[in-house]
Amino acid sequence: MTNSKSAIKPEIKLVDLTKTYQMGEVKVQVLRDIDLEIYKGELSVILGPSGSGKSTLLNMIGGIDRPTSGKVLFDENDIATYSDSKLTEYRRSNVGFVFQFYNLVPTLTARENVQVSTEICDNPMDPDEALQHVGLGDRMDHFPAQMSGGQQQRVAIARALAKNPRLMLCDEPTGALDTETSVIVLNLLTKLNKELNTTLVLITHAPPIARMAHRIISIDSGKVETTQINKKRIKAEEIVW
Amino acid sequence: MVKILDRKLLRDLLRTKGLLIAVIMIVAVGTGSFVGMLSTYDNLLIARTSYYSRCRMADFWIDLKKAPISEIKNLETLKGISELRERISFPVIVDLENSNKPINGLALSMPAGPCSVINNIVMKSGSYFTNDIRDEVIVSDKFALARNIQPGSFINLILNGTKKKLYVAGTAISSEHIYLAPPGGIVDNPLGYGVFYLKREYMEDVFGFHGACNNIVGILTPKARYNSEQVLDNINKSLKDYGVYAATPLKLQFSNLTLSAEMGGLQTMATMFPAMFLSVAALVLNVLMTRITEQQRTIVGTLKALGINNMTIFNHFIKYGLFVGVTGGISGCILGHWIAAWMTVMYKTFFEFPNLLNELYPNTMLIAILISIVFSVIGTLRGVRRIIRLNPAEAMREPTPTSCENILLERWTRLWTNLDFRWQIILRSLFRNKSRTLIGIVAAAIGSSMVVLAFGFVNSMDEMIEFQFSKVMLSDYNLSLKDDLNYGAFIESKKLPGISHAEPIFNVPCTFINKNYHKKGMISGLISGAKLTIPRRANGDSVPIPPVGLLMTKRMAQHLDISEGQTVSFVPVRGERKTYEAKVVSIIDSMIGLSVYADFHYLNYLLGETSAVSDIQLKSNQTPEQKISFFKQLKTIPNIQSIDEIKVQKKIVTKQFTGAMQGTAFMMIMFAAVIFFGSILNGTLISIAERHREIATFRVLGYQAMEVGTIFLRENIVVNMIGTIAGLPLGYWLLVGMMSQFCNDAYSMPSVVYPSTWLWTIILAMLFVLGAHWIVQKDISKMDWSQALSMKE
Ligand SMILES: Nc1ncnc2c1ncn2[C@@H]1O[C@H](COP(=O)(O)OP(=O)(O)OP(=O)(O)O)[C@@H](O)[C@H]1O
Ligand SMILES: [Mg+2]
Repeated sequence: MTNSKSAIKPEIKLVDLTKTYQMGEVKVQVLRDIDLEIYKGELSVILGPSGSGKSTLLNMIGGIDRPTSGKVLFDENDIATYSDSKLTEYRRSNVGFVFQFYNLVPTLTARENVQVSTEICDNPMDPDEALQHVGLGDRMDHFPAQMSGGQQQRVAIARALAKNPRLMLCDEPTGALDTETSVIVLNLLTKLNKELNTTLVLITHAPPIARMAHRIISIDSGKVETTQINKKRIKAEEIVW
Repeated sequence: MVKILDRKLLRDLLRTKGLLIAVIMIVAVGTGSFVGMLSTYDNLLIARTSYYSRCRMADFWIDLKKAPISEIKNLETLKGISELRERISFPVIVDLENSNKPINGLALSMPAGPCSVINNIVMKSGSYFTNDIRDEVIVSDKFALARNIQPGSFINLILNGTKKKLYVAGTAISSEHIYLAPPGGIVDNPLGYGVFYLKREYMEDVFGFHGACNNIVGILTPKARYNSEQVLDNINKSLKDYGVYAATPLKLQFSNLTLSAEMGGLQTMATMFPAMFLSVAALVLNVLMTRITEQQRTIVGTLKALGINNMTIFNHFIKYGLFVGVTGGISGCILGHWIAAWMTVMYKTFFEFPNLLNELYPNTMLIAILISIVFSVIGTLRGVRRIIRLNPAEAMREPTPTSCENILLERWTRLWTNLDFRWQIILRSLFRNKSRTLIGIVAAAIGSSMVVLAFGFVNSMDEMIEFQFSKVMLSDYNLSLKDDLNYGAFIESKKLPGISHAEPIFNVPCTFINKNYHKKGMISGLISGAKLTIPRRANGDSVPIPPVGLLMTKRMAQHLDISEGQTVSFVPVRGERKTYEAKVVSIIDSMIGLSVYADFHYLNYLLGETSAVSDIQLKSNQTPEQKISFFKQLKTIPNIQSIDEIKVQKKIVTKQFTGAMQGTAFMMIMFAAVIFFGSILNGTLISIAERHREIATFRVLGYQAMEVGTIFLRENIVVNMIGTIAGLPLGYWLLVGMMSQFCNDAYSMPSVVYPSTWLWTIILAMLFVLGAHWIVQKDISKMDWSQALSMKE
């Protein structure tokens, strides 16, 4: 499916969003005046230096954290006003997360780790199918400790995608991986974006990776610097690391 | 460097304060029960010793029919006897104006002027006999208080069948009645039984005992005290012709026996409880320490690499244990002092001392603190030793990841794959943290055994009361007669108001002899088919009275080393004191006393009587008015020595035993709660800390805090239910051990656990698990998990 201009609709919309942390006496403003739209079916990359507020921003979108002020609109609803359990409900049915560290349950096998997520949503993928998708059909009964970092990350991706989420949020998914494995993981993510039309937000502080995106959001010191549409998307193999 | 390490220690302690408090609480309860029970024991011991020496407590008691005082002189020459005192002692009936019912009592002779006799009395109010008035009485203090009898007033006593009005000179207590129960009874009843001290000359006149006595108390030479049986045997022999009913050494004297049994129980509990608690504390501390040292292995590696020696590191970590031991020990001492105060007050309601005080025992406290330190340090040792053994390079590396081998259960594929992933997580984590799981199980087992023990105490009491009052003793009233009367008195008693059924009893005090064993006791002659006294076996089966031969209580049979079918000899304390023989037809069970039963007519025939009656049992169906006139008539019957209303007796026994037991049981259940809470909180909070990331993962996937909590809840249910079930037999075993302290000739406590107790123990354990989970759930709900996800593993 192609992204014709008329089909572009925002999946999630941040309005006038700020986030402040209270650190003892001092207040630290981590995000300020953020107005941002993430579009359906697009791959958006958030780019920025370490400490600029990328993860914080992604956490607002994913319903892990609430902003100090401003709105996070999803289907016209402001999830920033949700209670803890409603927010959990939101994550449960709409969001898939992938982190730099894979966050697998060490006492569960690959398949069981995926089951953890399929168990609680309405129309999940079959766990085996999800693992096949990420190319781990032969590793389903392995424990995390028996797998390489790249394989673990693919299990994490399978776990996220098995929910059939509307939003897939990846916080430096390749941060802990070598180049070769990174390419595999990034290819997998773009494939999912394309084939399943999942809205994908990916954080990185490596500018070359950003060239894969439909849209590049640069942030610095808690502010959105620029949002640009990427005319010339490249494939993962083409990235010059 | 050491200073900095100490600062680190302080911060570490603060960081783990919740867990430390849990462990310290367990240690505190352990030391608290040690200090509390031993202090109570010491309080009782000190009070008893000083009371005994103040009253010049006797070493033995002889009850006999009647002996001339001159005989005492002969006795005094016997080896081992240091001093003797003869007394006159008779049951009396008190006729109080404000009470319909006649009340039983005991009259004891005292010298006319105060002097330091054996078993002297301590005046509580009023004065000793004044000698101005002939008819004076000193009343036992508890009875006087309960019945509101003041010095200076008058009371009516029925002495030797005649009503006498006596002037109350004062009230007093005596060390031989620290615990006072009516004959045949086992509990004290201040309202229903009193002691009345009368001038010797007065009693001589009233009972016709000029120059005679029927009670001898004596003090043994220090050497003879270790061998009182021998001396008593000799006394028995010399007094053979005067009809000795009983020769009781101090050890078996009812008041002393009851007090000693209680003190023995305290000693047992003072070892058992601390051992249980401190073991749990050491185990829990072991879990905590393993966690702390595991968490700090990189720090330790770095310290070692910096050149800090093992000794310093060892000292550093062992201080955790010291800290727990010292704080737990000190709070335990405070708790213990408080427990002792509470228990001492409780004992004051049973035992009458002139001065029973809760003292402070620095030595006990010091020992308690030392013990708690030892246990705490032992608990810390394993974790510390592991970290010491690591070399710096190894220590700095992350610990090897948890094993990824499949657990045994997974081989059972069909079951395993059908399990919910939550159960898979739970089972794997239980099997992979084997020592922690095991410790959880052991703690739960100890906790549950304590609950079983608590309920078991109450159950055993209930069982004893039930057995005695609903199975063996079924009458409403027991009348005991002054002499063995003939059947006529019995026929008369049937005509008393509202009496529906009556049965005669012929009680024959005697000495049983088998081989070279002998024991004083009594044979009760029951009519065949008796409905008001039914001998039974422990399982409740009734045993019919044989037409010929005896039924003997197991404990009595053990004393005599006799078994079913064998023949026993006995010498009655009546008539010509011939030796008779009878076959022991069956062995029966009795929880109170050492009953021996025979057929009424058989016993009469054997002793050459026709139909002698010594006691009458009555079953009634009375209106309140009939009851009043029933008691009124009883007061006028001269031959009645005492009157017992069984319902009242049952009520008193129930109230006193279950009342005291319920207090103790409640305390023990609270203690068990501390074990459950301490162990569960410690284990689970550590597990939560370790599995922080796992919890965060669940949360980010969209699991509610409650759903995450149930994983830990299930884990705790599995561990604690296994432990609780394992604790059930352990609890029963402890109960049997504990109850053996309360088995003597006066009463034998059964060890009974009702089926409902098993259920209740499981329910309570479940409630403790849920209660602890409530705290755990709060911890999970307020956990800041979002940070964990982007942390390095
Ligand atoms: N819970 C918190 N309390 C206080 N300050 C915080 C908290 N979380 C983040 N910050 C601060 O907010 C700022 C932004 O953090 P954030 O994790 O969003 O940055 P980032 O862009 O993701 O950085 P990186 O590339 O290193 O992951 C940082 O300066 C950080 O110190
Ligand atoms: Mg980040």
